[in-house]
Amino acid sequence: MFEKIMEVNVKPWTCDFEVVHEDWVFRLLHFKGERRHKVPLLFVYAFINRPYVLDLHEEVSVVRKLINEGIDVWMIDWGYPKRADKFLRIEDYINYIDFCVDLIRNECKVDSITVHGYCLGSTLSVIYSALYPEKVRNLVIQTPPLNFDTENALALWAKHIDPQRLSRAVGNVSGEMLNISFLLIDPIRLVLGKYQGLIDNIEDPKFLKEFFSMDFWIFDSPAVAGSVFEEFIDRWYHKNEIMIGTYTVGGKVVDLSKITMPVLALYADKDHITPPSAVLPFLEKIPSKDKKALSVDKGHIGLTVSKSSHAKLWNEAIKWIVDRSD
Amino acid sequence: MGLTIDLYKKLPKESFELFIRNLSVREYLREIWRLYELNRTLDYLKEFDGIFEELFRFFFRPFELVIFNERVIRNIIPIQELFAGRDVVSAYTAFLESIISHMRVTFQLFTESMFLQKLPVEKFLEEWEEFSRKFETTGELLLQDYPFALPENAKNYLLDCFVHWKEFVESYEIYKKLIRDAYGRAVDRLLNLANSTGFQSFENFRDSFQECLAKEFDPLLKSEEYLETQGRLIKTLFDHIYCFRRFLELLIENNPASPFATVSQIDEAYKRILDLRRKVSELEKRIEKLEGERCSKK
Repeated sequence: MFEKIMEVNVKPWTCDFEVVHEDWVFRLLHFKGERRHKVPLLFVYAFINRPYVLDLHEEVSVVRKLINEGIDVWMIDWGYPKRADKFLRIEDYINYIDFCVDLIRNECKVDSITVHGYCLGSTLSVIYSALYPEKVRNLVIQTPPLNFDTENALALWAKHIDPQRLSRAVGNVSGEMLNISFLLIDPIRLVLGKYQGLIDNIEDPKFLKEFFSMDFWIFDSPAVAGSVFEEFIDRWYHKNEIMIGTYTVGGKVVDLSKITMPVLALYADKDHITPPSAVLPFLEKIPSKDKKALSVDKGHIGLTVSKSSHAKLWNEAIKWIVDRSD
Repeated sequence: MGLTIDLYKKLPKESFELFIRNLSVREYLREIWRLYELNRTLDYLKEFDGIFEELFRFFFRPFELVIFNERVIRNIIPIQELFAGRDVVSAYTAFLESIISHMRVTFQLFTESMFLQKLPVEKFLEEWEEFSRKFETTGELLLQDYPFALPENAKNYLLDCFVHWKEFVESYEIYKKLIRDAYGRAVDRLLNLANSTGFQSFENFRDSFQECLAKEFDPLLKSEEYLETQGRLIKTLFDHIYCFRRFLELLIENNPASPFATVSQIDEAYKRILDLRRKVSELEKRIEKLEGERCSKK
């Protein structure tokens, strides 16, 4: 049984990229491909987990799909914050997005680009788009937590912790702590069901490869910088400031009425991390005239890596992006 | 290396542990199924306790490690000796000192008569020993005065550390009981199913067990009681860790001979560097803007 697992070879990233810029812990990646559409796309990944889930393996690579359609793809990798990064703030993340957007605009000679956020990266993307709407041609938000006043276990747990107590004790919130928390949110499916399924399929090399591609990614968890953790738990989860309209970055109010660009929201009906109620009120609130929501009957990660999502949702999503990229 | 060790090395630690624990769960389930098949009825079996341990050890372990921290603290700080054994230590110190002194003199007499010619290395070591005796203390003074010798604030952090640890252990017991009770209810559900509708196959039995567990755990993890308990558990856990660390840090920071910087001191430096960097970045932007304006004027 163990031999079968030992034979599995998991390598993250399937598409070639170049590291265009490094800024202590942050990096800007540029994927190689033929640019056939004018407007480039920047992935703003979450600061939890690693961005290669968007390019996990050949069959379910969102990045590859976009490159094949002629989109020029860039991506921010927030890296692995260390103790030295404990005092990073959300503002630093927004400033780095702005730096990258300017760099891409100059490089590609365009006024504005498509910003594609993933999970908490969607939250950052929305904040950025509200602050710099003139630089965002299209906004894509994938499994986005925006309305934090929801009843899923993760949101309820977040509301019952004092983030300052954690960060003052341990500095950054480590990847191991996050791993345990995410498993404990749904222990029966994630600890029992999932691994009993692994035992059932232990003779199937294809299953093993897909299973461990996911597992290596799931447990490859960077720490969250202490001050960032404090800010997003307190101001987003506890106070829901983005939706209420009181959230500020560098003294500027994040005004959702500035979200007038085309917006595509991708969400999963069975998402226990960012349920549909975390995004639908946001879509109702923004004034954009060109907004669309696509959903799939999957969970938070299934939306990105399931073959059924790639057969349907991602084809529609990429068509939406391509249609607005010239 | 054995194959299990190879796998341990290859996989993420979480994947490895959850996989091998689920192998044990599978064996327990198979045994329960075997007993059920004998007469198509099911009672509570010890294997259910085994499954509980395999499923939840992963989550309980970090908390239990902190509970174990109490022993570490006791090793660092001789609390018991301070408060209970202080008189005994005082009484024995004089006695031990006289024995040590007696033995030293006796040993010196013997060694000097046996080895008249000494090597330079031995001479040096002897001198060194004599020299280092200047720094010998009985330890009695420190033990007796320990509470008074603690730096300001360190005493409060130490006391708070004990208080939070106690609260944490109490919260953990409630937390573990909530989970254990939910598991017990899920097993009761399964037993009812087994003894009413029954199961067609092992797979059907296993899936039903999972469904019974989910029916209990899904609402539990969102219940007010669970949220309050977990919130209190996390608060007391991290307060305990923080107070213990600050206590140790203050011991170091207040010792003028300590060559170590503490985490808090290094954090302060990190903070200042980052603040400075933000100011530099802001200045760069202003200069860039000014240069742009100057170029457009030309």
